[in-house]
Amino acid sequence: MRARSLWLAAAFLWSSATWAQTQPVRIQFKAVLGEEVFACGHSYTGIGTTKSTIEPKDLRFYVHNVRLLDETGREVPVHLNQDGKWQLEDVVLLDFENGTGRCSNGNADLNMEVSGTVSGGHTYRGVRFILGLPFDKNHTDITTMPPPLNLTSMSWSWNAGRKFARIEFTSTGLPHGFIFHLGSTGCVPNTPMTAPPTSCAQPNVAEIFLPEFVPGESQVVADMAMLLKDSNVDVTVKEYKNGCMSSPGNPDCAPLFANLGLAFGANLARPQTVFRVGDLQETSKSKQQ
Amino acid sequence: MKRKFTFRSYLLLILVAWILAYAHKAWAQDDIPLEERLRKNPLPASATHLESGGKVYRDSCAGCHGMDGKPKPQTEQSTPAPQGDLSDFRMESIRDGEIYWVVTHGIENFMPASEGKLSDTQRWEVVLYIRELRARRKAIEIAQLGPYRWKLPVGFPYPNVPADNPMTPEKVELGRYLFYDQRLSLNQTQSCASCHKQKLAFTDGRPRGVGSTGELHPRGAMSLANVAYSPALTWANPNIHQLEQQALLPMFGENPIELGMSGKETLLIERLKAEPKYQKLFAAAFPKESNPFTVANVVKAIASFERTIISGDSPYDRYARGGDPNAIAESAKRGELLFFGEKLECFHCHGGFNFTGTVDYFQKGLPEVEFHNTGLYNLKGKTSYPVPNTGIYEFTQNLDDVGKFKAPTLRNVMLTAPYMHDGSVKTIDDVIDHYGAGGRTIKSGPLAGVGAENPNRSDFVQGFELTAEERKDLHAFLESLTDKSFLTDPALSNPWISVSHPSGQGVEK
Repeated sequence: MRARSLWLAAAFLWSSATWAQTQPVRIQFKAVLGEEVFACGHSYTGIGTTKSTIEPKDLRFYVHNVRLLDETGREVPVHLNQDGKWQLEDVVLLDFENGTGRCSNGNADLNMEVSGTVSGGHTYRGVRFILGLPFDKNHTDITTMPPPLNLTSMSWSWNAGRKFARIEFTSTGLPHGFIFHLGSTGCVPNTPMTAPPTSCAQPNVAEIFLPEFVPGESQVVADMAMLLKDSNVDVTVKEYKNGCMSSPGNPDCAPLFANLGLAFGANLARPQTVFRVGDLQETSKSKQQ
Repeated sequence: MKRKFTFRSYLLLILVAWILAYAHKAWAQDDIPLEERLRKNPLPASATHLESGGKVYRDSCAGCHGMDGKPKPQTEQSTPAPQGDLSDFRMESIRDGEIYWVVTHGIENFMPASEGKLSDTQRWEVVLYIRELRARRKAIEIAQLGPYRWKLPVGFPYPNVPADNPMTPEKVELGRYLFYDQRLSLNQTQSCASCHKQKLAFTDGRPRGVGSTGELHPRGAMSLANVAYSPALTWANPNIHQLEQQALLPMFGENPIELGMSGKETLLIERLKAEPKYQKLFAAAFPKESNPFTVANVVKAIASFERTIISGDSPYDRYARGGDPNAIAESAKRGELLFFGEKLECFHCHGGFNFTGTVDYFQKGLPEVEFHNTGLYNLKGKTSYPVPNTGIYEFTQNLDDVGKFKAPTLRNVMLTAPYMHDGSVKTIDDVIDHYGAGGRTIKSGPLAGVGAENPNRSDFVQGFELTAEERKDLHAFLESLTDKSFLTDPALSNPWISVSHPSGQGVEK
């Protein structure tokens, strides 16, 4: 009897200790346009400087190096569950399109969360992550890398890398669509020019910091209306064709980069305005219902 | 007179150094008489003669050329001439009679003559032994390359092949089927061959490519002739080095859309699996894989096929490296001298066995990648070339790189019009005019500018004047680079045509 109590106590202590070492964490993401939830097949009004009406064609982006802040403000890395599909090492692909409506170039699968474990025994407040891919993964071979780095839709062979974000929609003025592909530019190999890229002049990865985020209570809200707030989505600069493919000289990129907190040309980076913290229980006026 | 003499010495020096083995071998223009060039070695390649040749070589030649044919490091005592590697592939382009002549007469100021020191038989034995140096090296190269048997023109080096995609006949065969298969485009209207047509030396005759959805490509389809030797692919992208990597661009690229398969890899694989012929072809090409139907294998097979797209049997090849001094007309021979001369300077960017400065091959050591600005545009404003075709500036973002593009191979150039990256030069005469003027002047409109004043223009584009006769000669030379057997080689043709395919669907016609 006594031995059993001791054993139970030991087991309890051991499991507490384990719990204290790591704890599971889920960081949910929600894509919205203002007050409305993002969904393929729906249209959204009042977008950009011309108050255009837009319809989504795609919304996917990579994030990596996800961290929570503990009570001392220290950054604690989230170790991602290696699910063989959305998460690989420290990289996650977030996918908000379900292949319906104008999103027909996408797929049915969705992924709107980052899941992993984080050091236990702390009270976390605040999340940091990087929008985009780390350099050493960006320029790898899409035909041989595991998911989610094997998707041709996120590949960007011209730049020997990948698109970090793929955000596409039609608008009142552009029925064929406005395209925003975020990725590194100015990538070059060393001399002789026969190696993979060794550096990119514009990495175009954005550190996102949301200090008010509380695990279990908050979610990360990505607001596409905020991304497009300063853009005229009804026209594009002709020489760069249909939108912003991150070309450094393309004026259509400037407001998009600014809102993501990225430097662009002579414009210095300023705080991003696309991502914010939302209440996990928050009920948005969803058009999905 | 002095200048002429120096030039001749230079020609002969080159002949030995082989550095520009293709550049200065006009039959009638340097000191070796035609009948001497065409002499065949009278000795059989017997062990006795070889042994004897080896001894003579050791005593008379190895001091500078090295026992294995590889030049010895330069010392103060050694001649200022860069000795060529007597065991490398360029030796295949040099005839017995030419080697014999150089061994006999030496090279003024650089290499002593052996006439009077060695008997006629000894000299021919040395020629035998020099041939043996190349044969030995080639045997080593073949062993290193693996079991695949290349069918290469005489004097072509072995291409580089990525370690993870060794050549096999089965992969080449599968790649050929894929290359001509319209199922590789989303709407099943285009294959690789839609823009790379064999009869046009694997170009499409258009100024700029047109994708499967009708989208206009900013640039034209490049010839695939000898693409296995190119360490930089497409017109101006310093990041695309391998054909496996390049094949992903037309398939999955979206800016512009070419085959339009972005995000449709699952569909692509399903389509391929549904073709009974592919069941056998994929299994044969990737015998160790339980599921060979992957995007990685698709591009590996296509790249393997592309490495066999080799052109080296033009009249010029037969004239310059074969045994036929009359394979090209006298006019073409004069054109050759113009092309390789310092007046036109063409060969600086279009030299070597593939007539381009961007080249790599097996054990080359240093791959060469060059991009040049030829003064095609000179716009006012930030970039002197119209967006999006700013050359490698797009990647390096260095203003000195605006307008720098790869010099394409000139093999089969008469079939690859229109010319330049954007197809903006219609005919070969317009090309000659462009270089003659040292750049193109556009008088009005949004592209107005004096190309010759482009600050990045290559130093080799200085302009020249040609008489009507010279222009004809240059024409004749460029025409002599057309390789008819390449254009009709059944091994490079559409394999689906011989396969019964009643519906005709999914097949490049």
